[in-house]
Amino acid sequence: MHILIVEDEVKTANYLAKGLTENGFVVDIVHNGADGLFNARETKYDLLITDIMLPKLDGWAIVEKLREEDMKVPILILTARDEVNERVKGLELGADDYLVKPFSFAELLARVKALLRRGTNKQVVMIEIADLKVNLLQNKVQRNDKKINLTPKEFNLLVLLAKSHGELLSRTYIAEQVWGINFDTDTNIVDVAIRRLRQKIDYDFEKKLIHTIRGAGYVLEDRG
Amino acid sequence: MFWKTEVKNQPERSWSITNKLTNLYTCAIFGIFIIIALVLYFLLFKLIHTAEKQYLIDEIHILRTLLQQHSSDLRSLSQEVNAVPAALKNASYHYYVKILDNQNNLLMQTPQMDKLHINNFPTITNSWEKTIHYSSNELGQKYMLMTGPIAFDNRGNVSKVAQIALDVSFQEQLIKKYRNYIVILLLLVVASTFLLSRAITKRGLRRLYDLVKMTENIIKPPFLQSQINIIDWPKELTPVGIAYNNMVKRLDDTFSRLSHSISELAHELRTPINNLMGEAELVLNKPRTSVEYEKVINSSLEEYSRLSTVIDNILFLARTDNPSTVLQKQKLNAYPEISKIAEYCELAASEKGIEIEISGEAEVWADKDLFYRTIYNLLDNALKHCRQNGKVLVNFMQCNEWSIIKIADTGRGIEEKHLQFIFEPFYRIKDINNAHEKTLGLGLGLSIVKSIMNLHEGKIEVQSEVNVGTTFSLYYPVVN
Repeated sequence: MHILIVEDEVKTANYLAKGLTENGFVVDIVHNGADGLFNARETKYDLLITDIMLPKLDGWAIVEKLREEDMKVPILILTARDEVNERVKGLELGADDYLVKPFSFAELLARVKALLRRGTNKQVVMIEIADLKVNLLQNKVQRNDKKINLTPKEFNLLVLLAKSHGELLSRTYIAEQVWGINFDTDTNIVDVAIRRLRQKIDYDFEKKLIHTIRGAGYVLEDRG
Repeated sequence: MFWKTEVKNQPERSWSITNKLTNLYTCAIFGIFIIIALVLYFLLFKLIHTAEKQYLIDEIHILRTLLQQHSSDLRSLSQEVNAVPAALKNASYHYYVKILDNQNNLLMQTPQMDKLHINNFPTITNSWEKTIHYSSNELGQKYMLMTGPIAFDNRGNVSKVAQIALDVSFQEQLIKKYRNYIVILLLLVVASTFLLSRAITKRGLRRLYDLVKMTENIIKPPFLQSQINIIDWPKELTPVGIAYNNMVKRLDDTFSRLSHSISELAHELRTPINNLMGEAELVLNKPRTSVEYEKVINSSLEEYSRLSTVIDNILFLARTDNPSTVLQKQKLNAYPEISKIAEYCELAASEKGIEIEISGEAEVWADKDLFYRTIYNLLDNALKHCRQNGKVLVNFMQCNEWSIIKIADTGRGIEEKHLQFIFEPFYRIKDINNAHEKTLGLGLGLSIVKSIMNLHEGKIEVQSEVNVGTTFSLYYPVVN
């Protein structure tokens, strides 16, 4: 997967590139809007991550020009300004997602993966991780062939974790995806939800699947 | 950052009120004076001129009468013709007479007459009384000339005429002097009007200058010191004075709130930064295991996210405090929307054994995102202050022009002395029993709710009873 980062702040660009590379992406960095537009036109990227305030050409203009030229590359906007109007403007111009600084890297990664998945659009019916089976059609969950009863929200939470298994999900992202709460809340609530899910999914089994990453979020994976 | 102290110079073409008023007064007085002076001047001119003319006509009538009385004996006129200049030496009118027959032959004349070299006497007509010529000589003397019949023959034709030259130099001088006086007077009047009106205007605008000076002084807080005493102010300026005092008071309030908030904010940032610095320094003191490094970095992450939350909230508050923020208002059905938030909060509630009860029916015109945040903040607040196994009641109703949402908890309640401050940013009630301050949040939640309600032109009310509970009531205006 090939990602272009357009970001004039060198430190930010470098840590983003480092993190994404470590997660298996191929990353190009440019530091101004004009180069960003040029590269996006010349190379076929799978994703474009762009800042708004950029020298030479701002992020809005890049999105606008690419969409005018019918380039369908997914675009994730990063910005330090989160005026509601700006968010709307960005999405109206044709950006696919919008992330406000400061953000956690886990959150960026989750969104990047979600955007990349969006294109493939494969209908998943069954997710299997170790001995966990999640049937998305019948809303059924089994572990070690034992049926587990979950509330609808718990089921949604499990599906979210299972679909992006192996990926770190931040509390904010989880709150947004499961409860539609898109502002900062007391994230203890997510912790409570995870703890209850754990009681049902992990408590009675030796192999634990849901793991806490301190200060970052949660991940569901088979750690052997 | 908040105050611009630099003063922009006034545009060059703008005049001060004093100058404007002074100039207008001066122009008005100047105009009135000119009109009066012109009228008086022309009246005087006309009076003198009429008197002179009448004098000439009278003289001709005298000559004619004399001739008639003395059966056309020219000698009878000699006294009138010759003696007059001498007799009237000191009088204002000097005149010279010439008697001619109808052939224009000179019959008689005042001795000095030929020295005057006057040759443009009007010819005799029927309207001789109205025909006047003027003549002036190189000595600067001016004469008014008239020709009149003094004798008629049997058929009624003119047989003798008199040509009279009246010396009007004196009168001309008089008029000239009068004109000069007027000009001098005019200059004096303009100058004194200018100075006087300037002084009067300055005096009249004294309160305005006071106001200007006061306004210039309000650079430094506390502003309350620059309140104006408006008791002896003129009627026109009293509203300005009152408005000014109100503004100063508001500035003072805002500024003290602002500086309070800023110091609270700085304080809020100081704690996590202190933790970050201390931990990083300590861990770098000597070589550590990677587990220890990881622990510090993880702890740092927690502090960073705390910092990030503070910044987010501050920014959010700043934005909702700005009245020009654009709202995306829509009609929301209270029950499902509030249930959605409550469902999220329920997780935290059930931890404390608290039950959330929702009831009522209402439609709310609000910005959806901001509505969620309002409800969340109040629910969160209620859950934090509710007792174990308590209850949080959410009730809403439609009441005339308001959609009202009440969120009540069965908590410790808030003491009356705190009630007026709870919407201030960073205001937290210090609770000795509740040592872990972190669970109480940043003290921004209610300020945010209040500014959101302000944006919606709604209001928020709070009622509280110690050890019984607290109820927050949100009033959203109904939009037709």
